[in-house]
Amino acid sequence: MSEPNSPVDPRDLDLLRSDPPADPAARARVRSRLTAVFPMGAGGPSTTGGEGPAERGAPPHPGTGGLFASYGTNAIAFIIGGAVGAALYAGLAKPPAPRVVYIDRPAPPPALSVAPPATASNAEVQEVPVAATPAPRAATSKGHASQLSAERLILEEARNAITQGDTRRGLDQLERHRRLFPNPLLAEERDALQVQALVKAGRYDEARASADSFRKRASDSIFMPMVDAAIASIRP
Amino acid sequence: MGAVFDENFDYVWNTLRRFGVREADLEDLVQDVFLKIYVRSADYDSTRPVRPWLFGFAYRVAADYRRLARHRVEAHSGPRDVAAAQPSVDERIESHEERMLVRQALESVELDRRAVLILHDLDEVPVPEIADALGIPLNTAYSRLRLARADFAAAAKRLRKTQDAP
Repeated sequence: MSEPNSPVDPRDLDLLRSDPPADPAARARVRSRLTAVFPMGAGGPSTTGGEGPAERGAPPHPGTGGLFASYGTNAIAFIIGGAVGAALYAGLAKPPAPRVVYIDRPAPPPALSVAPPATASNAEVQEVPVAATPAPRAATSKGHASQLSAERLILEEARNAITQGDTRRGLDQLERHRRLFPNPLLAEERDALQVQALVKAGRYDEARASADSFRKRASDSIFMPMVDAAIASIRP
Repeated sequence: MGAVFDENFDYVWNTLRRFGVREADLEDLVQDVFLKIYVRSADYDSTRPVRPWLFGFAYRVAADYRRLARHRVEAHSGPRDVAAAQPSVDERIESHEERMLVRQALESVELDRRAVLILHDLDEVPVPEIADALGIPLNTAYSRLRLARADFAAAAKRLRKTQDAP
């Protein structure tokens, strides 16, 4: 889109446009890593969703946006795969592993050791010696780090929305997190945010019920004070 | 997601490269871009073209990347950097040399301006859509385009002069 009065030589623009294609091996690696985080579908352009229909003005897929219309089928496969993997792991597991809680803000001094993952630069990791649902066996891989960063992104979106008073969007993001990550790393943070969002939305009965459920599951959670504060803010 | 990824991987890759992201870092940053796209997919307005929207993510990821001190040494900000980055003798095949030169000229353009130049002159996106995608006023977009073109043309001229010097 060069113009007659532009000082830029059109041949220079042609040279810039002639960038070599991306490394196919890099493409495959990125695709593989993203597949560990969310459903990607089969390789190659889709005929039922994706950019094409979006560019032609097709309406977005309800709840997931027009870009990801093929999400449903893939999500089912993803969930089934996760369930099978979890079942296999449960059969093989020995004593329950320590629960690992990932947080986004400074925490009290850790009870045991601190070992932040290399790729999660902003996350602090605190090991809490509580017997609970063990993380999936593959949780030390790159996929683990990718899942963590993806979970953090979604919860960050939710937190921002809730802070800005957009509780509907916040709750949508929390629901999306629940749907995408059947074996979440940040479940407690999500559930605490949910209580906060429900209180802000004026849905007090649901907020109390969620808080009670949270207390039963994780009364020692570092997010418990956040839940209590949210409930305490409800006017009688 | 698969189709969006497959159809736009090269586009995102090349956009990040045009923003001066090192080859070694492209893979990780492309991944970051697609993660962010996925998280924000519900915000996508399907009545609009997808690439300017994707470009906005690539732009922000590249801007964050460049803010990290460890990457600053890689940025080409003026003639001194450019002179130090002359192609080796083995690379002096004319077309390759020219491509390197224009890429260096592009990298000398300030990031905000460069974003508008890339979207308009390379991706052929109309200025009003650019303003929308980058969240800037229309007049600012026009101003940045004018300045970016002037900067780029001046840098290319300067680089050619340096190259032709004995």
